[in-house]
Amino acid sequence: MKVWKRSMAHLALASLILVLMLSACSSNNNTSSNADKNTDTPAATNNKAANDKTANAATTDDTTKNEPAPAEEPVELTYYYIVYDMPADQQEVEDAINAYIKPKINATIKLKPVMEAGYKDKINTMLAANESFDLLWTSNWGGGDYDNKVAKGALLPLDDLLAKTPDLKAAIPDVAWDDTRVDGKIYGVPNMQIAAKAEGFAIQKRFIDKYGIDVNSIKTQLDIEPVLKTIHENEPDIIPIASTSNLFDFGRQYGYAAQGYKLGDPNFKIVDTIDKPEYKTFLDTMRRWYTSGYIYKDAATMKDDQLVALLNTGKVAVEWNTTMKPGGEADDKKRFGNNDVVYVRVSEPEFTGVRPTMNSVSHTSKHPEKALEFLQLTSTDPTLFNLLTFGIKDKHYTVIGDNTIKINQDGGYKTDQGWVFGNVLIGYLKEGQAPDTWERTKQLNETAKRPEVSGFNFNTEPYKTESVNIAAVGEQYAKALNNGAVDPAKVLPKYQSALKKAGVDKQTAEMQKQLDEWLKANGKK
Amino acid sequence: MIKSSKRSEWHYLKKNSELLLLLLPGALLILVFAYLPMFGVVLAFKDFHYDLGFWKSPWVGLQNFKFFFVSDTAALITRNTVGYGLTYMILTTVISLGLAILMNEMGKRWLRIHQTAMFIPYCLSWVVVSYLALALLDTQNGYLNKVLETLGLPTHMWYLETAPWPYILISAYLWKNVGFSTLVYFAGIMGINQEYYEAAKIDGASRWQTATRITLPMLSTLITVLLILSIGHIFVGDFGLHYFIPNDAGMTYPTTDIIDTYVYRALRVNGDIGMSTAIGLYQSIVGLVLVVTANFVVRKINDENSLF
Repeated sequence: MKVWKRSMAHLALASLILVLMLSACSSNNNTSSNADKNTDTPAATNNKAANDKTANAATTDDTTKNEPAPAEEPVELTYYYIVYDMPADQQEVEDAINAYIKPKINATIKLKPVMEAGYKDKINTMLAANESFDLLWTSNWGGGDYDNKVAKGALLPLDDLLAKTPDLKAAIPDVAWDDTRVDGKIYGVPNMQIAAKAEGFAIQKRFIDKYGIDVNSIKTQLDIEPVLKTIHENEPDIIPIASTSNLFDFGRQYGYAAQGYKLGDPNFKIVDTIDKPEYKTFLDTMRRWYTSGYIYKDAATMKDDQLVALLNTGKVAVEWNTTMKPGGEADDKKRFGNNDVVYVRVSEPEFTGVRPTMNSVSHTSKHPEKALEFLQLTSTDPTLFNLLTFGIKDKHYTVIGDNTIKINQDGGYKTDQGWVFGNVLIGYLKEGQAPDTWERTKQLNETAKRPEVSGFNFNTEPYKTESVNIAAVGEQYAKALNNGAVDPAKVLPKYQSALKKAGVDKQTAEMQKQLDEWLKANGKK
Repeated sequence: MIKSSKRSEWHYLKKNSELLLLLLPGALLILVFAYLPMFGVVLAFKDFHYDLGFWKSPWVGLQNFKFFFVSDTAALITRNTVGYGLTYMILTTVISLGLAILMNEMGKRWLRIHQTAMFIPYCLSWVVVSYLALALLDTQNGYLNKVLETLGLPTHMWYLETAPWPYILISAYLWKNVGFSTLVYFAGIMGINQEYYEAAKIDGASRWQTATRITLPMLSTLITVLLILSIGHIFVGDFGLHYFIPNDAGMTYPTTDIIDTYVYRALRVNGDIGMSTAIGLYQSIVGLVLVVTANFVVRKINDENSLF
């Protein structure tokens, strides 16, 4: 036993030395290659200078003119962004983009699409490893993780840098810039798209026609019940309504703002909506719809990809939609298995801000100015934007009309994610979208009603302990309750008490404090 | 004296140099992937900021541990984690030992088929298995509900109920892992000197007697070593199993949630490196204490079988 222990010690020592040697080697390599790079250019110029001594004055002039060129070698930027489908022709599109942007900004870009499911983890791992990259897509939902990344110092403040890219600053309205501010500083370049959202239903047109449904009678969420009832009774193979998340918007139905205060309350008092009697009424209705067979039986446990597959079969009649963007019917037709859909709004468009999609500069970026120059192009240059979004002309899409294209579904670049890259309003329209789609979008953004507390965002840092536990409780109960899959009489009290124990009161108090401060600072209280 | 001990050590190293060389890659991997990252546990006590980095981020004491211990479900989750861990450990050991002994009695041709059939699930990822489970348990189109329906029994909404999950999870775990540990024990049995069995046969021992009087005692060292090692994992739940097989369905949490899934869920929205590290550290410490205690107990009973 003793011998074994001693030899282990030796072995450990030996392997430690080996590891150290290996790491030393690799770091040596790095420094030497860096040194090579640095010495390379002076040596070359020295040689040139030596040669020039024998040459005439004119050529010497030439070399001095060329002198600064090596210092401005093209920069390679790295850009991480979210995708829902890996494009097959990524490299080809990247080459085309680089050929286009290199003469313009003297930089090339390395595109790094990351699948949605792993996006946040991938970015956080790279940040934790202090890996150098330049651009990343951010948002206030899902993997974008904007607030948290700002709070943790992962993003560069852009205010000073933006002074050097005035076209970018001018291309985006000031309200949009202001919406990205955290503690007065800009950390993201907003992607211009629909920034005003309405809620409502997407209903398959064939059922509206068949049963003569009067869409004008649907004024609130609960007005959809007769439609669901008709479909359930007459179409045994059709699912009246399906969703993966909260089926409806409880706050909207009963007049609560997203921040949790009752709309019109002069005191802006934030309440725990889950604890309100209206929530019980709402859940009872959902339960009745579920047991009547209106709501898809597996809605509470279905994952996003399962919903996509289900919608694709064309068997779902109605879907709750929280964007209602102009021209969205064309996208939804594809999602609903090539069945025409009609949008029915139950709320007025409201300015919801630009935080849902932005691009930010990593604090590890070596070339933040160049990174912003690239974003300036994606926001102002239609050629680059269309390349990024739709790929190469006649290969990945064909132009079928004035600024309108048809995406080639077998083309190897059909991701169609303009909202990730820049200003969709300068890009092509897709087949089926009205020529005035972008005008309507712009108009909607400008005219949409602004919520009273537009521009206010909670800072979760002071109540993080509570908020993570509340999030965990919410994931346990909310979906099953909101889809009517469980009996609210039994489960709701459990949900309410779990929230209380997780510290919802402390969270509410802290939120109220932040909101009050903001209201005072903005003269609204 | 020192000289002589040095010489014997050198001799020992030289004699076993080939074996030690074989060990080296594995030891290096463990060093790089298990020992070097240990410095990272410092983050459990810091409020990590990317721009301040590892060293300059402010210290926050035990703040990062707080969220887990104040949560209402901490007790429930600990119970689940330890309960499942113990059940998995005991059932896997008993069942795979039994199977290994049975395999020892089997003809060569059948042996290979059984080995392969039992080993295949071990190579599948839980994500793949979760789709198999979904095909079985889906409320509307699931195979199990269809069978129950034809038998005239009431169907279940499996992903909204708590009661069936302990059985489902344990079956899934055993189905996937028993094959591997059976092979380990079977290899142990192959290593037992055949003369014992021949002698027993001559003396007229029954199969039951050879199993309990020869095989089990000869395997006792292997069994205890494997047990001590797996005790360290009791507090580190099988994330893949508990996350993917119940499909992360909220209503099943009371009987499926373990520390790993809870922490993942709580921090998914608010991904905080400090908080995740804190829970990882907590699990490792409890695991270490369990292993050392188990080893201590084993050493008290029988010094030969202890790990260190």
